[in-house]
Amino acid sequence: MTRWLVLVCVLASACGASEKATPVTPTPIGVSLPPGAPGDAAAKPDTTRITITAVEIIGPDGARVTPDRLKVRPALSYNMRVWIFCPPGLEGPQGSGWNAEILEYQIRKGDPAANTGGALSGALRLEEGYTVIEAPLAMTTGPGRQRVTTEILRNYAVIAKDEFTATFSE
Amino acid sequence: MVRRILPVILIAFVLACDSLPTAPSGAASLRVQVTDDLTRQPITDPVYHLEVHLAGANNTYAQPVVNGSATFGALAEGEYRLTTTALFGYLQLDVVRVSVEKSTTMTLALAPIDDFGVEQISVDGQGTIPVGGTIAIPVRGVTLRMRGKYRSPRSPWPAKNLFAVSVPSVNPEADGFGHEGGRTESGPMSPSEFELAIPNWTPCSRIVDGRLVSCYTSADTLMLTMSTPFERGFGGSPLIRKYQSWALKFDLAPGCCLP
Repeated sequence: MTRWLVLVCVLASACGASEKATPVTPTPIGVSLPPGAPGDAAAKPDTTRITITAVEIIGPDGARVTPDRLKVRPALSYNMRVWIFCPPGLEGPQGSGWNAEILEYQIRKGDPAANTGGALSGALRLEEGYTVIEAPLAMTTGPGRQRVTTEILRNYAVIAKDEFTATFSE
Repeated sequence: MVRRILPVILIAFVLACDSLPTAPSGAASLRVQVTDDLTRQPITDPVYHLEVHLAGANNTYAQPVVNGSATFGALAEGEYRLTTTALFGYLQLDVVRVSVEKSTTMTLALAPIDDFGVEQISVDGQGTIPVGGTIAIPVRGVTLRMRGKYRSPRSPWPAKNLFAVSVPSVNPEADGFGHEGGRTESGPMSPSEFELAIPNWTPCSRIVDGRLVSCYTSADTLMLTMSTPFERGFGGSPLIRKYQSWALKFDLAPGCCLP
């Protein structure tokens, strides 16, 4: 029964996404931020939990853009870069069980006014230090606002979260 | 007779010793006040069965949380890694190391999560089955009933959350998760209690020539999933999936089992 329930959930989740899923790969960075990393990606001293330290939005020219100054066109021109910090002691396997060492990430984008949205998700295993997830950020229905939520999950429990509003104009 | 009993006593003694602190007691003490990460209030409800564990270089200790705090007396001074366990409802997000000297007090915040835990297992016609108990399995299997506590900040009462529990074999990759002869009925009974019923359950995983084979005779964990139902259609979105320790033995009837 449980296995059928899980299968149905997975299938239903896949059907629910209205946006084409784009494969994204979490990239371990190491215990220190690399040159060129944004300053706000640095974890505060004595951070003791897995934390989304910063979400960058990168424009077509490679420059960082604030989420309230996005343009509708050209479509698919923005990328999100999610910076995650994992303090020593929380990396790799935690606990026991079939998925103990696997975390999941979900990036949900939604416009409640237009009843549109979509989600990207995948699995990752955190190393000590920083990890970056890159994902596209696009508005497919014209000017408006999107609530963008990024969550890190362990066994479906939310262990880290970031939310912001992206505003798109012509 | 004595030859049979002696090894049992010996094993019981070794197991009992294993759960005791592994080092001589010391002169330090630690009081850990446990709070809710959102409300910042102490977690005083005993329903969560919270325990605080300390692991040092040579010592381990465990204490239940009573009235919002766990108190460790007669500790050896030193560095400890602090972890927590709960039947359900709270998750420790922080990696915590504490240096204990003389009398130390600290606060630990736990995150409230969607979660549930089984508190009672019963079988129709056989009554309540305790941890380590035995379930007699007739040819057509048994109706397993489970009750317990839950909390769901993301899908709170009166949402009709779905609860699923399987009783996998000790080696589920090889021996499977058991067989259900009907559809599990589950749901919340109140904002904090749930129940479920699994009809015609047998600890067997494969059907060959109309009979269930690959039957197992023991289990040590329950596999739990709580989901919030989709607005339309069948199924739901998972809120939590986890293991819970619960040892069981199965006494298979001759000719067992039919699907």
